[in-house]
Amino acid sequence: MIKLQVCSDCQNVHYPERDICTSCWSENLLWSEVSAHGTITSVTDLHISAKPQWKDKLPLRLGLVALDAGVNILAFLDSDLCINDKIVLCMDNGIYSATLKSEN
Amino acid sequence: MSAPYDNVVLTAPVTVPYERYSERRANYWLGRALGMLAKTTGLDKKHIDGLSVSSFTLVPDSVASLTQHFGMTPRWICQEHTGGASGITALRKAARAVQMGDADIIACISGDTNPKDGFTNILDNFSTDMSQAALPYGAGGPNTSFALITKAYMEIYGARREDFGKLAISQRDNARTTPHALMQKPLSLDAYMDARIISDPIHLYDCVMPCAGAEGYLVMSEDRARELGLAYVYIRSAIERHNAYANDPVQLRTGLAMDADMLWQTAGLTPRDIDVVQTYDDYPVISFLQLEDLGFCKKGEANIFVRDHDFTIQGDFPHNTSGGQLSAGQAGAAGGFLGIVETIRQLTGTALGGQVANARLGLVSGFGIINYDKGLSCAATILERGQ
Repeated sequence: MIKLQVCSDCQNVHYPERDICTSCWSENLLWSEVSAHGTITSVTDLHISAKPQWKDKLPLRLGLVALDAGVNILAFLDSDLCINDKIVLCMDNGIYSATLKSEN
Repeated sequence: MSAPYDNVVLTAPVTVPYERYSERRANYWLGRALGMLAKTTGLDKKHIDGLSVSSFTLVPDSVASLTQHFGMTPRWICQEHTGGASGITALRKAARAVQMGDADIIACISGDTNPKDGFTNILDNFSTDMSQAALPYGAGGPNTSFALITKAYMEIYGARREDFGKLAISQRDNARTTPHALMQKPLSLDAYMDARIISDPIHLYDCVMPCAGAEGYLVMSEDRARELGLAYVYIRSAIERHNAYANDPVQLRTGLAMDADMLWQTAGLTPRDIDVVQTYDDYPVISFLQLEDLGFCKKGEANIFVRDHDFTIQGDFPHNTSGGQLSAGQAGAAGGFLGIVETIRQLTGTALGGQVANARLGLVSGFGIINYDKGLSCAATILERGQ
């Protein structure tokens, strides 16, 4: 499970952080646990960064994840992950990474 | 269907020649555009009573503070924040203001400066979503977002890098006739394919070069343009849409798809009637999406459309005839004005570079404000040579 903002009135899930529900405009957004499962919808290997602090870490494997809970999240990927792979997302200090979902 | 744009025209296309880097403020570039508008039309600046501005690097100034910088006392001002769609969203508002008598002559200008660290600054101040959900992942900026869109597009529709390359190469051919285009060296398919990798599958020649510069045009009544002896174009139709298809997992269509039917119906035209097309080309895949969503070809078939047509000025589908941003450079928000300004020139027979023969009808589309996964704003217009 990961924590995202869920609307107490209509249960809409939000990412990135919102101030008001994008679905019903309620102000009652609560950080709640939602499923960390999702599917990779695109991938890229980033070779050039706009910021010097990334220089030694390039290339980076990145992907867009369609979370089952209904939001899209850009995440760091394990190097062998591809489009359509089912993944589990974990979050550390606001940064998301994806690993392959085990078969069982 | 929206009301027709009767008795209102676009005229006086101007471009402040681009420079790769500039330590001047955005105010300088925007002011130069105004100066060129006054000079090319012979208008006294006191007659310009409306001002529309689009710029990323203008902060902390705004269009209101600019009136003092430029010594203007307008009765109508507007600031566009739609980036690549701003040339068209500015046009829509300005045209209505002139039609309703809220202003007589509106200068629509867009420009940005580009100091050495300019692009990083634009990214850092672009949006809360970009800061929170995109930049912490290696700070690839738009290269990352568009690489993800391009990769998904290729995987789903079978487009090849060569297809994007053909578009980029024909724009380079067009740029080579355009004096202010920053990239003038011929581009071969080999050079395109072998270029440095940026963010797979995006390579160097899929990316625009950020630069400083400005673009502008005037909006006024047809009667006024005639009095002034200016060549002008009509607005046959114009649409815009923001945050369309918000639940799509990857952006393989733009909001243009929602309104394209209305665009054509209002104009009473079909894609086959158009003589010259400008799409917003910050990356080739985005031009592909616009061509599809506007109905020039079916979804997922822009790669075939590109293979089957010649996109150069002399070709059967003249496209981004001043080189587009891929070869002219991207002067910040002015990239969203490039297509409008070039189309006014093509339709009035005043192209700075290659002129499309007998161009009467032109289509311009724009796309902008990529937050972290999708571009949010899009717009399109059909323009016609004035009689």
